[in-house]
Amino acid sequence: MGFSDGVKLLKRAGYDGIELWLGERPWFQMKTTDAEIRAMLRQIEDAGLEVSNVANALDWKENISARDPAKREAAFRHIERQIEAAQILGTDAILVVAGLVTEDTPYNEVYKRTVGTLQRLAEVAAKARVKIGVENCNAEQRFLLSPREFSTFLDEINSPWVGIHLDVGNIHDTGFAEQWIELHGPRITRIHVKDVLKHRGRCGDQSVYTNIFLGDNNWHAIREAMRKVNYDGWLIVEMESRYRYAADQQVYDASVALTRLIAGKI
Amino acid sequence: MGLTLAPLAARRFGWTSVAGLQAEIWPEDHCLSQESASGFQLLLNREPPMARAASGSGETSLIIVPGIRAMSLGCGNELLGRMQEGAWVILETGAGYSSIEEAKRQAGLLERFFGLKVLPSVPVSKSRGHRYIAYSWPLPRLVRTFEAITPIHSNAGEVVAHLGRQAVCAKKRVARGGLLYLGSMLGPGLFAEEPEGLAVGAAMVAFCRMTASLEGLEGRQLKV
Repeated sequence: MGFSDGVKLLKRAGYDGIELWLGERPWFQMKTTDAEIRAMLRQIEDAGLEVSNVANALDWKENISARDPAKREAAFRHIERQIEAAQILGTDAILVVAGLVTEDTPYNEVYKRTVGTLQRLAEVAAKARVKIGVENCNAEQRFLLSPREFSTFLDEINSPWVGIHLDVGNIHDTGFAEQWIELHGPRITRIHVKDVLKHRGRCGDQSVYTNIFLGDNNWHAIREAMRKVNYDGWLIVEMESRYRYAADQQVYDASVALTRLIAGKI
Repeated sequence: MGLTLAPLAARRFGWTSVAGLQAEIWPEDHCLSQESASGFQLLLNREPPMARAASGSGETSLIIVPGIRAMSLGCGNELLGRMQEGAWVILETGAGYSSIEEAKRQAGLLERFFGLKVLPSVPVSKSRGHRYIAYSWPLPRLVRTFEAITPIHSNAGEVVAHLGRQAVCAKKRVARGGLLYLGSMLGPGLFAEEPEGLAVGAAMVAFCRMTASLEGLEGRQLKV
């Protein structure tokens, strides 16, 4: 499905906005010009939508915590480009995956390098008045696995322009999404909404993630926690497992589920 | 001391006086070198304040060149000149992340100025099972590798660390000073506050301090 048809589908399904991913699809790459981004915005606005935030699909290959300086510099550049794109698209937040612990790149090293680089990026973000939301990709990153540690990490960065883009599906069996919401409160820039099969574990191409209400998240508790911290920002549905048939039906189903979550009819 | 992102052209990154040791850090203008420089700066800053107050004559006795990739003729000349004045140089290669041309040039200059024969960089393969550089000097410690090593052909007496069977670090007397060559990057581990790296780094600094002070005594005796 092309970009234009995609935004029209989202509108028909009842969404208010769209999260754009730099590096994911041909129409939004590092080489995409400002004029081309403005043209995308026109299509989004013509469909009656807004841009919720700008994410990227590049951090997994080019991360600010990489040992290789070429990858690290590329990561810095694509995050800068996200910030520029966010300004053009009229949104005030971006999503980054900051810090990847691997077999070869140890935790302490990743921690220090990520804090240092985000401090530099915070200066860029402050000038653009765009918030950097650091996503909690806990299991995939092997990094910042507890909400307290994530909080200490943000304390060390020490900038109001760097917060957490909280994904309530990513916590798996290492904690409870509602507790993350409570602990981070005003530092939450955006929330990704998906469900998780906590006891499945990744096996081959089987995803642990699933549609809202199909997994193990406690949606009553998540909703209450969002109310408690007065979260009134975007809820962004993210689906890793796709319908094998009638793919557009998943977009409609997720929208209905989201509407019921927001309305408290669960 | 604050950290700056100074380009190589400006070159004097930090100037630190610790326990009778005047130290300079010469980073290049890329994040690999800058991060390593931050690690070495952190190491120097850890010296106790009482010791720092006892700083020496004002002459630089330690130069740290972190994560060097594009070594120039001028840089080699200047380092050799400072060694002739009695300075010790910790030269940490970043050749594992440089172009083939830069690495060849660096190897040529290391041999020409310091008589150190450097082999091409090799990635550290996890399948070989060697994750740690085994230092035998200044302390016997295992220190984590940093992706690639740039090994050396060196006299047995000069080699101070190995990865498996490959010699990766050397201590070599040059003129009145000397060279500590690090074929595996140490600075990023210092920045990450890895205890073994900090212990080895601190012992290297202590060695340079002691050697420089002995050299100073000798110099004064000669003047007498």
